[in-house]
Amino acid sequence: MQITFELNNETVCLDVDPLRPLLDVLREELGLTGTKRGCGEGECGACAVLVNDRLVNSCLLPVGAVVHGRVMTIEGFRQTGAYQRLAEAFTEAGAVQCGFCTPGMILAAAALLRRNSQPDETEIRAALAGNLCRCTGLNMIVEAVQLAARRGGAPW
Amino acid sequence: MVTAFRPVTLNEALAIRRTHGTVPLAGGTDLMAAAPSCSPGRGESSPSIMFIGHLTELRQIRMEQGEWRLGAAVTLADILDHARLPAPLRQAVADMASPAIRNVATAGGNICNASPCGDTLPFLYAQAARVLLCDSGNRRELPIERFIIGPGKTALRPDELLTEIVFPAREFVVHRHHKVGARRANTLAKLSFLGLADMDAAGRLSDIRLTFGSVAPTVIRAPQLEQRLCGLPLTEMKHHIDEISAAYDGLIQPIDDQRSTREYRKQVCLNLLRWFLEELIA
Ligand SMILES: Cc1cc2nc3c(=O)[nH]c(=O)nc-3n(C[C@H](O)[C@H](O)[C@H](O)COP(=O)(O)OP(=O)(O)OC[C@H]3O[C@@H](n4cnc5c(N)ncnc54)[C@H](O)[C@@H]3O)c2cc1C
Ligand code: FES
Repeated sequence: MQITFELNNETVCLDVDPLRPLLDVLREELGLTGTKRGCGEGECGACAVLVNDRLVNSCLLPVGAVVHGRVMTIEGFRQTGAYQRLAEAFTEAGAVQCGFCTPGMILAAAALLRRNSQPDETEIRAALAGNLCRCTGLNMIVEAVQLAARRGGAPW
Repeated sequence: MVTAFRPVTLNEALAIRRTHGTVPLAGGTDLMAAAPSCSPGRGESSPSIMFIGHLTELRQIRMEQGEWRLGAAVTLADILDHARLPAPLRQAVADMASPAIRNVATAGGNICNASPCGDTLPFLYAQAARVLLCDSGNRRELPIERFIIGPGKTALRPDELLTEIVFPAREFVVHRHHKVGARRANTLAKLSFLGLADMDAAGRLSDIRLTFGSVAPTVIRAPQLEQRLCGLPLTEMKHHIDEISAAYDGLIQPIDDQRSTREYRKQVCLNLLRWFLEELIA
């Protein structure tokens, strides 16, 4: 099936099995390996991307479901000021260790801050509830999001 | 490659359903998770699938003649974002899965999946919700408890789609929802309890709805037991708690599985029931 969608602000048109998970299409067809495969069943958030500005686990999303949609992966998000702000905060707070969960965490944080630029700790934890980190114990990641929010002025 | 359809309108979708009997895919969070390494419907004899999550006809949330009408492809996130929808429904949805799953998982998918631990179901049973089922020529409505037949089984016909979920826009003064699971997020319930109640000006219980999830093949609700409590002055409630609790003890027959045990499930259900009734008196 011919599938057209916007990926990181560019139109892509692919002939792929519409039931293939978006994650596999990103990694294997398009070489965008920033999006990670952890569990492959919706539990860990390593594969999270933004679809129409909302956080989605790409391992469970058939690519046919994003036809005419807007997909943003960590590669596209890197070009934004919001990414710069989050990357600095994650570094300062020590929120990155092995890095496997980081692309998903950054996008989960971005999805939150876009809707709520001054979240409290409960709101941050709720927004990150579907993203697992085995290294940091999550607290440093929560601190990183708080830090990014406190600095304000970023174009979420 | 399995055949996939992506209709543009609901009518087109119903016509495809009639000729091809294809598997509807709304958010796909159940269908894709059921077959993580390959996609759903793969293999020689695999049926085709049809994307329906994007159909605007199925994405509306409307209030009409005192009833809420939720399109089948309304997502769990849409429900959370809609502040006027009943609090107990939004609370049940907030306790489901994770933000990324809620952004794609649909209300209709949760119903059609007919899982004993479907978390929107206790609310829908408590509110006596109906589902609207359409094929390309006809439409019919069924009460939720007649639509869901058993685990994974519904009364949906091969040429039908669930299009709308309908329930009275009726708020209850008291509502308590508890989902008990191993962790807060991304967890299937060991059990869940929802209690709704209203009092009249004379201090009598005027309406009460009690439902239990994940402790039987389908949601447990016993209107005949609720009726026994209706009309009772709250001051007399304490004399009835033991008797009501014993009646539910007979009704709640959970199983042991990898998530929990029969004893735990039953005991916590009865504790939550008792807690809810005692809270009404206080
Ligand atoms: C990580 C994870 C966590 C989860 N947590 C929870 C949880 O806490 N609580 C819970 O209840 N569920 C949970 N689920 C299950 C699932 O997300 C929900 O059941 C969801 O509501 C299903 O909706 P969907 O649109 O994704 O369904 P789909 O996978 O698209 O469809 C499910 C079934 O319904 C059928 N169907 C869908 N829409 C229609 C329609 N309009 N007409 C006819 N048939 C239809 C499909 O053919 C399929 O058989 C979880 C799933 C995952 C992967
Ligand atoms: S890889 Fe998708 S949620 Fe784990």
